[in-house]
Amino acid sequence: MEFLKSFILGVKSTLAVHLFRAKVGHSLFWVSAGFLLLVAAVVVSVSFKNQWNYKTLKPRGQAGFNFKNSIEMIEACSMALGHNAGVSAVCSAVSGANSGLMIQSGFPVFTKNVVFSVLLGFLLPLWCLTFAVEGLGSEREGKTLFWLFSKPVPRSSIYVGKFLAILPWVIIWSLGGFFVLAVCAGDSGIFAFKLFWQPIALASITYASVFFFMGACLPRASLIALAYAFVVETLLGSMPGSLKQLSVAFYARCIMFQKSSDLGVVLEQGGGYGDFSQTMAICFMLGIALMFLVAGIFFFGKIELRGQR
Amino acid sequence: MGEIPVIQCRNLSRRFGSKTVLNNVSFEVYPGIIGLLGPNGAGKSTLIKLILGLDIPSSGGITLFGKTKVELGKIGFMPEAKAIIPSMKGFEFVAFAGELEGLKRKDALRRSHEILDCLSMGEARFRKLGEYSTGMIQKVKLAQALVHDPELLILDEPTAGLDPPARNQMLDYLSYFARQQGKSIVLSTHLLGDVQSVCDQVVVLNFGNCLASCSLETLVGNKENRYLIEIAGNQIDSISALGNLCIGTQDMGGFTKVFIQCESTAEINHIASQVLSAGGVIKKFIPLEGNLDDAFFALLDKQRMEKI
Repeated sequence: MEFLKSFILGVKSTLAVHLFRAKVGHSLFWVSAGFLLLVAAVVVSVSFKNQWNYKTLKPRGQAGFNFKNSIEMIEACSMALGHNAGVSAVCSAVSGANSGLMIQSGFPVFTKNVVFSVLLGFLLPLWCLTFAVEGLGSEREGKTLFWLFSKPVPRSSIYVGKFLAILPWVIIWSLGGFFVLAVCAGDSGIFAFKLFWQPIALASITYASVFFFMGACLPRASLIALAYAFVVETLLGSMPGSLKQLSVAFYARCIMFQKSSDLGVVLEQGGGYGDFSQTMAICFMLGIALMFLVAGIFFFGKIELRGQR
Repeated sequence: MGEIPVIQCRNLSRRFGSKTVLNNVSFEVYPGIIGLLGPNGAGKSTLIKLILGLDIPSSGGITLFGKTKVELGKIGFMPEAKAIIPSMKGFEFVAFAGELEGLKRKDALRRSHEILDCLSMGEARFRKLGEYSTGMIQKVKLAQALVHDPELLILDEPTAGLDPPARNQMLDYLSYFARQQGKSIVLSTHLLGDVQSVCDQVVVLNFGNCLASCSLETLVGNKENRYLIEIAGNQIDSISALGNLCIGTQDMGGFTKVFIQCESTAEINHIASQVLSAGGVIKKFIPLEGNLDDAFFALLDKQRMEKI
C-alpha cells in the first residue's frame, strides 16, 4: 500500500512537471522537422503535377505501357476500327474503366508511396525517437537522474511518469506530421489520414516505448535508436518474406492493409500483410509496447549511478 | 557524546569488480555540521550514494539515526551537479522537490516560498532556472534539499563555483540551519577553508580509506607541543632520525614540511640537533597553529609514507 502510494505520487509529480516541458530545441528535433519539410515539399510537387494516380504507372504484370498509354491506345484502336458498334462499345467500356481507376487511384498510390514507404519506414520512427530517447536520456545527461533517485519515490514511478509525459508529444508530432503530408497530397491524402490515423497513433506509442527504453537504459541511446530505426524499421521492414515481421511498421501496415481491403482496395499484394488480422496486429503492437515498458521499469530500477554526482 | 550517531558506518566496503572504492570504512558522527573531506577519487561520492541508499555496500553497513533502513524523507540532498530543470521557475522547482518528498501541492508551494524567503531569493524565484547565476542555482538547490524539513542535509560541494561573498553567505546559511534549526549537515567539499569555518566534526577519506573521524578541534585545535619544521638538504635521513616524533610530512619539492609532536618544549634543541646531524638544513622551525590544511595534508602524507 505504501509502495502504491509513493508510486502514484511519483508518477503524478513527474508527469505534471514534464508534460509541458518536452525538449523541443535539440538537434534530433530539427532533423525530424527538416525531413518532414523535405517530404512535404516532394508531396506538394507531386500534387502540383497531379500525379497521385496510376497515370505514370504500369498495370501489374504488363510491360511497356503505363495506364495513360493504355487508354490512349484503346482510343486509337477504337478510331482505327471505324464504326463497328460492338468494338466501339467494348473500347469505350475499357477506356472508361481505366479512366475511373485513374481518378480513384490517388489513395492507393499515396498510401503505397508515402504512408507505407516513407512515413512508416523512415519518418515515423525518427519522429518518435526524437522525443522518446530524450525522455530520460536528457535527465541522465543533465544529471537530474541522480537527484530524482534521491527522492523517496520508486524508480518505476519516475520511468512511468516520464513515459506518460512524452507520450502526448510523440503522438501529436506523429499525427501532426502525417496530417501535414496528407493535406499536401490533397483529397487522396486526407482520405488516407482519416482511414489510417489510428494505426499511426498505435505505431507511435509502440515506437515511443521501444525508444524510451533505449534512452533510459542504454548508453549512447540516440545512436542505437537511429541504428535500430534504419536497420530494423527501414531495411528489414521492407525486405520480402517474413523478416519484415521483426519491425513494428509491419504490424501497422497489416492494420492499414485490412482497413483498405474492407473498402475494396488491395494494397501491396504479396507483402504478407493479409496474414495478420487487425486484432492480431493491434495485440502484437500493444504487446511490444508493454514488453519494452516492463523491461524498462526493470532495468531502470537496476541502473548503477557510477560517475554521477 | 552520549547521543545516537547521525551516521554510523561499520566496516563499509564498496568494490566495483577488482577496484575497491571504499575499503573497510568505519566511523560515527553526531549531530552538527560534519565535513566530509578527501581528494578526487577518495570515495566521497560513493559514500554519499551509500548513505542515500542509491547503492548497496559490498560489505559492512550503515545506520542513520540508529536505524539500518534509510528513510529518504529524513534526508535532504543537494547534488554537486547542476541538476535543475531550466524551463522551471525557482519556486516551482523547489515545490516539485517538495511534492516528490510527499508534501501536498499547496504545502509544497508554501514551504517553497518560506525557504526561498529564508535564503533571500526575493523576486528571482519567479524567473526560470535557466536564467539563474551559479550562486542562485546553489541557493535553489539548497532550498529543494530543505523543503521537506529534513533532519539530515547532505550537501555535495555547496560552495563550488561561488565567489567569496556568495560563499560566505552560503556558509552562513549552513551555520544558521545547523545552529538555529538543529539540522545535521554533511558537507562534502574540497575546500578546507569551508570545513574549518563551519564544521564541528570531520571525516577524512583517501583512496577509499578513512584516515580520520573526529571533531575538528581534535584534528587541528590542540596544537600544544606540535611544531612545523621545514627541512632541506638530506630530508629522508632527517625524517628517519625524528622517528615517532614525526606525525606527518608534506613534500614541497625542494624541501619537506615535517610535523612533529614532542613531550615538552625542552626537546626542541635535541630535535634540531638530530636533524642537523642527519644532514638536514632547517629552514623554519615554528610552533604549529591550528590549521586544517596542514593537518589534512599531514594525514595524506602519512598514509603515503605508510604505503611506501
